[in-house]
Amino acid sequence: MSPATTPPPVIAARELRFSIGETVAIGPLDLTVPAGAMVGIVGETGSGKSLMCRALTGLLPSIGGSLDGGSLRFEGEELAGADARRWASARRGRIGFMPQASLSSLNPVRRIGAQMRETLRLTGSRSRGACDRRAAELLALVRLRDVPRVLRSYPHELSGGMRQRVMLALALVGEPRLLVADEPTTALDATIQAEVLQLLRQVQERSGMSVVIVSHDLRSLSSVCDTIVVMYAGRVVESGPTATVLARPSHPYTRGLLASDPALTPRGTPLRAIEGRPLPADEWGAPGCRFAPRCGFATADCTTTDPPPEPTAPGTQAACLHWKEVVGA
Amino acid sequence: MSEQRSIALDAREVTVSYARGAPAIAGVSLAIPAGAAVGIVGESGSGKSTLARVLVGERAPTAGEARVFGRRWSEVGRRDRERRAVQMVFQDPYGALNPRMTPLETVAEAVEVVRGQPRRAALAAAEELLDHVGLGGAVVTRRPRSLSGGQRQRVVIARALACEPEVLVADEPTSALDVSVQAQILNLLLRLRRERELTLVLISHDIAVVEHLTDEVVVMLNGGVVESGPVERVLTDPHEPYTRRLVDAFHMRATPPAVRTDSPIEEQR
Repeated sequence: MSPATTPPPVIAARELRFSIGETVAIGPLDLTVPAGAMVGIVGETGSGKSLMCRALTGLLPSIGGSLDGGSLRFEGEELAGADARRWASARRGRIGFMPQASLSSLNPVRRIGAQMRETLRLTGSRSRGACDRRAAELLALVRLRDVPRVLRSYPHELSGGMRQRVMLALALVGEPRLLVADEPTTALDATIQAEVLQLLRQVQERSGMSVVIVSHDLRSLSSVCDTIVVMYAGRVVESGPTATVLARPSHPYTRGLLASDPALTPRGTPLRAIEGRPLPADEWGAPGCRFAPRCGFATADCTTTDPPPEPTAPGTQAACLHWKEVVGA
Repeated sequence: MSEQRSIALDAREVTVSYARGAPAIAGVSLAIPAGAAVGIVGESGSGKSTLARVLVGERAPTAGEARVFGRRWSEVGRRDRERRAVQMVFQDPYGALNPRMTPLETVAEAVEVVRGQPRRAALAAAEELLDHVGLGGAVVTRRPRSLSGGQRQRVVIARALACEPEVLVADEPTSALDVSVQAQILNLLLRLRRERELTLVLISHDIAVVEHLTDEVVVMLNGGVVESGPVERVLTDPHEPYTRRLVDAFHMRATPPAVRTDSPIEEQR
């Protein structure tokens, strides 16, 4: 299929299904993260995007979720069905994870230096001196100034932006092939958000790793990501190169998200808002397209047929029976 | 009278100090003309929410004074017209609602208190107000717990409208909402502004929201106003370095879809 010279994708998920609790069942969905790419997953509350992060990192069980079916290949290695031990070894040195609300996930009573040393020891025992040198290197990599002071600091002595940089440095400890960041900028001020995203991009380009960022903010993601994946109610409804998705959205929900953005709408004019609210998880079992109740393009077919993903442009897919009308609208 | 009414809210050299540390705001002067739409932007800790509370008379300044339609807030009684004429909407609509009251009861109560109408008439008026903000059917008889964030925010706005306000001060009214739902609330605020000639003060960290809804913008940093002026001027020609950073972050979001690896990242200190 692909020429032998191109490396396998870092993540290739096919027909992947995962769940948490009785009602929230995500997928089946496909996701490809090419080597060295930055992929943005956008979705609203309850779309399943945070669970997706957990699925990709093998961390669903830690929050009571499970991987239920399909294929999940990490650099060619099948990890669907892997047990905790195999996941741990797959993650070690290869997958970094920045959990949501990571601003509060630093230990408040331990200095940054001690926390970094602990993480460095987990990924390969080194001497204290080697750990300290590596910690300093990583903090410099995330562009923190006055590294010795940061190492001596407690988390509360750092600003939100600085703490998020420390979290990034911690996720980079094992020089991962893949970094998964769940809402890395949500709690930050607008100016700091932009800086953290640019930093992620620069670190990604320098190291050649792949990055998956999850966010509710399509605009921010599109400022740094190569590929955009749009999730709605537990499904991937559209995916493709950022420029194509923005210029030529082929799923009505993507189109609606762009139209809802005040930054893209002339000042003082009504936004073309998406009516209604996302379908709650306990109604996902009903037949048909989950976006149909809010969709201006919906017809009777949409309430009976679950639309399969279809190619809509090179590298782009959308799960909509009416994507041609959406593109033409 | 008309001359007095030309300025709706007025802060003069206002300083607010809490028990410890630097004042939340220091020496801030700001006049909101009646009928204007003014945005206040700034990051967390900049003092924008404190300023909002001073403007609506909820917090007395430590120094300086705050006026509403020309009257000092300190002289405005609980039941005076000015108190009612200025209504506030907060970021967390859940915390602002009584969990045991349905939207209909919540809004009807405000109507009863403000207009002195009997229960039956108040309920009818409440139904009309809720319909006006896009809530109808079974939703209006549910408890807040079973409403979505957007629906709760509509209830809060309907309750504010029950007071027949002339000024609406909204502090991060859409920050807790999903993008598609945020658009609905922004549209509602735009429509209310137009139909009711409401004076609007919008506090937000999101300059895109402020840009969309308001004509004037006030930029706050470290408890002071660093820049203010017409939205278009501030966005195209920011005078202060902080405003420039804010505007750059906004343009980064608003400009599709280049990958900007060329821009230097400021080191964090």
